[in-house]
Amino acid sequence: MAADGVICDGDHLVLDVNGEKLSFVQKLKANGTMRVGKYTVSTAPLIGAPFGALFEVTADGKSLQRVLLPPADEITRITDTERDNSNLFDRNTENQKLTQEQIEELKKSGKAGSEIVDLLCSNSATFEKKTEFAQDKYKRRKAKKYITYLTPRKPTARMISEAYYDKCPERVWNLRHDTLAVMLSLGNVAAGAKVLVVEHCLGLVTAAAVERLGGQGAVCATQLDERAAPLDAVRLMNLDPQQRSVLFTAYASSLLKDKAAVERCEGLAAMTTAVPAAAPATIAAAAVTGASEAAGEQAAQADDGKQQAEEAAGAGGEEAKSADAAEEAMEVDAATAASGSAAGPDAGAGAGPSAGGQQQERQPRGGDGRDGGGGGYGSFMPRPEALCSVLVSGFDCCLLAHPKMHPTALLDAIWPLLAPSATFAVYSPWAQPLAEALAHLQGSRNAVMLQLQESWLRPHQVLPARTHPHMTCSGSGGYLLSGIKVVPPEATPLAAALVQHLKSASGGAAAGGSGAGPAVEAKEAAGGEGEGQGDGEGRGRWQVSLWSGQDFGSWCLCLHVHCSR
Amino acid sequence: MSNFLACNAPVEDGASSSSTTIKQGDCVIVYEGINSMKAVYITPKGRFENRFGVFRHQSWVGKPFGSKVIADGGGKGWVYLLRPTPELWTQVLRHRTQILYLADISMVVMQLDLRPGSVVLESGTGSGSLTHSLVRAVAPTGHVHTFEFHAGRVEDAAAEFQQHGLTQLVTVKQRDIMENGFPDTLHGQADAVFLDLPGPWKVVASAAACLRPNGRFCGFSPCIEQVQRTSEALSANGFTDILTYECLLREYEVHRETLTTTVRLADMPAAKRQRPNNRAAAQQAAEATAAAAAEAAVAEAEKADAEAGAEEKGEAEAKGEEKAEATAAEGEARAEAAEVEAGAAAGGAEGKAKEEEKDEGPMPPPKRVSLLPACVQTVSCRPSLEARGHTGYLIFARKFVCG
Ligand SMILES: C[S@@+](CC[C@H](N)C(=O)[O-])C[C@H]1O[C@@H](n2cnc3c(N)ncnc32)[C@H](O)[C@@H]1O
Repeated sequence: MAADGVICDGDHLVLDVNGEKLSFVQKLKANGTMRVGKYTVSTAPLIGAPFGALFEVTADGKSLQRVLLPPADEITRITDTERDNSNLFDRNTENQKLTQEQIEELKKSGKAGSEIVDLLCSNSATFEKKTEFAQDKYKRRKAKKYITYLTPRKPTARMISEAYYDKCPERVWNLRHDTLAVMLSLGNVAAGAKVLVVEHCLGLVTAAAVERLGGQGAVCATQLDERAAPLDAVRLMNLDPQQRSVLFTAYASSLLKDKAAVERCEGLAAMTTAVPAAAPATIAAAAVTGASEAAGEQAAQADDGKQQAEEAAGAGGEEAKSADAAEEAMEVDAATAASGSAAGPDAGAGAGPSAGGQQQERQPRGGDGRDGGGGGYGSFMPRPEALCSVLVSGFDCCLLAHPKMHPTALLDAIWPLLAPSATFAVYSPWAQPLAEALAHLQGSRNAVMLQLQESWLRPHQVLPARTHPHMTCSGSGGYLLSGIKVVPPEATPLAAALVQHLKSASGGAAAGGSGAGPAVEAKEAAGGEGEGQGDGEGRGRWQVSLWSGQDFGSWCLCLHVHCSR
Repeated sequence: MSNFLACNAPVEDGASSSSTTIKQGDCVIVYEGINSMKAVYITPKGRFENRFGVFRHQSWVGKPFGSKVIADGGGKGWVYLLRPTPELWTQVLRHRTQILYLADISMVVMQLDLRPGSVVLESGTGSGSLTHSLVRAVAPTGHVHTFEFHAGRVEDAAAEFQQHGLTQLVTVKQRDIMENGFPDTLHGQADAVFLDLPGPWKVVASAAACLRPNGRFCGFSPCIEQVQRTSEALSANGFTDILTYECLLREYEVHRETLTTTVRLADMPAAKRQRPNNRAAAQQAAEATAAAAAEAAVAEAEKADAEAGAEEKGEAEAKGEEKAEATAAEGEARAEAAEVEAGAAAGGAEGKAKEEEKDEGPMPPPKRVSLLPACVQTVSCRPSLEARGHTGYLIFARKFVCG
């Protein structure tokens, strides 16, 4: 059995033309046609063929013909270096005995392109006298003109990534396949993982995570503002129901509220029983909508349920406002409510949710796109047990690829959702914002193993006696910030005082109560307390203080910096 | 014994999830710093000692991964306890051979199209750095068959897989793969083959026999000659899409820097003009200017402090002794800044002294061209000075789909 199975009616494909150009075919129809380069060919021969099979466009340009043996020209073994080009005058037309009319004739007769190339070679007056290098080159040139090879590929995250990078790199923020690969490694994404994704790369990161999970674990495509999490790439893959089942979409605000609620009542017992009134409302919502997920008829009803539950959640959150961690969720809410343009107090300049405007998604919306209102969960409903698990123990992987959001702000916003020892990786095409986020995290002492790296990739041409790096290659694969979340050290009285101060200085907008507060508070506190502690981390390159505040909220501390070298 | 993979974690059953807390037999990555980590296996009587103190394993049990723990007996030292991942393992493992690192490993896993359920063949096992990532990718239903001809390495790798709870997912066997190829029993069974051997081209035919149609091949070779031969063998054995890549991850250092925004333009000191050819005099003059510059810089910095201080005041009080420390640090930073300025001034003075040797005019005070604040704090990054230049070439290929 072929490693990727066979092509079926209704499958999505990535078409690889001459190993040079990638394009997508969605919902292949057995009796349809598709465009391959400049030709329009019947799709029928693809059905039942293995993914990865090779086809050639017939010379009449109307049909596809399966190629059952590898074309010989992958690498031509060069043995003869005796002949040289010195007595050749390269005027192709005169050396070619076949006339243009004859060639046209051959094409119309339906001969395969490869046969035409062979004929061209044998009818070339100079072909035999050329060096093997030159013969090779001639053949390749002619092949390019007369043969169109087509390989239908399985739309894996890798193929989709390569195709996107080829076709529209700016729409995936130049996220290259090798960078995506490193991101998945650093995130420790694998079967059983609970992955939080916030991205703006056509769903590519989400798709890759879903693929790596193989039907076990959870991937939450997280929505920040009114724009749905992109899922384009997910919709291009042929996922079976099991593989698909790991994916759900959710508003970050809902997750944060529920997380706070769960922490408030240590409420697992509550959730596993019959969802009493005290249980987090969005879980109730998920239970209602989850049960009727696929049923189109029940959709409206489910939406109602969702909405009501959501309102309840809102109210619950309101009550809890003074208490504790719900504060953080409220902040995120505020940012969302402000019509998507205003940033929350902890979203820095340029990090407004609407900043990605010019890249606005065209969301393919089928009957499943009902995630517009209510603030609940979207077209991919969470399974209650998945939701419960991520809320109780937190996400253990986090992948962020939303470059228009300042990573410091984004990390701060979702931080409470991550489990201790969670691995995270943040992609950006720019180093600077990631450097700032790294400095911030290092100051906060909330994460270790912090690394900022740029990916570099160079393809090589490997041919006998002609091996060298490609003349052009992509300049940068972008940057990754990665690290591992650690449990913040307990706040000292001193730190608590600092938090109090911060709170009053910022008009109470940023920090919550003074008790054992949510992570964000504790984090700033930890940074303040940590000054000059000279512990394990202190052996790093610099010892510093808090977030410099140069481009971040007004409530941040500004301390001077001591570079110890 | 089995906390290495998320899919091995016991099903969560109650109020606290057992996969996120440390238990007996677990592998824990003890983190002291980014370049100082150790793998520790939790045992009932176990102790961990480092220069910060002594820790009893027992006191770690029940703590969530990611915790910071303090040394026993009221010590001041502390470490972080991290959940193991293949990436961390690559950092802490005992090197028996050269190993693959993150950049190459990620490329291999991605380009081999590995996913849960895949069957992958590997040789040699070496130190098992790559193997852990292969296992993670194919778990919980796939399998890694890894082959190594060095008996000791086979044993070590097997012991590690056992300790990490991976025995269901990986089989390590002793075999000379370049001589004998992969076992016949694996023919037609593999979705992917990976070779990190001195002569991968010798194994290409066997790899072709083991791979299913459309299966993926990867060879890692440090030298281009090996790549050349492997490429030729691949095209002779029915492979297609033969591509060679080199990949690296460039590490960046992040610094906070305080940059001076004031450009001081000092005039040539008078002393120098009187004795144009006397080097000692020039030196003296430069020093005088430098001192003045340093003073000015400190004054400037203090002014900036006062400005920033408005916001900082309350916090400074709250911080008490820590503030004192910070202030000391600032003092040093300022002194440093002053030194830099002074140095520049001295250089300038000397240069000018040479140019204007014959000018006898009186010496005006140094001028300053002042912009907004005296200095700005920036976060900046640059590639680490020490960087990996080359690891090896990765050759990828796909088995042609004949039937
Ligand atoms: C560079 S190491 C592999 C490192 C491994 N990729 C890792 O990441 O840890 C190469 C290994 O191949 C083994 N080896 C060399 N020749 C072999 C052969 N003919 N058959 C099997 N293993 C071989 C060596 O003993 C060595 O352990």
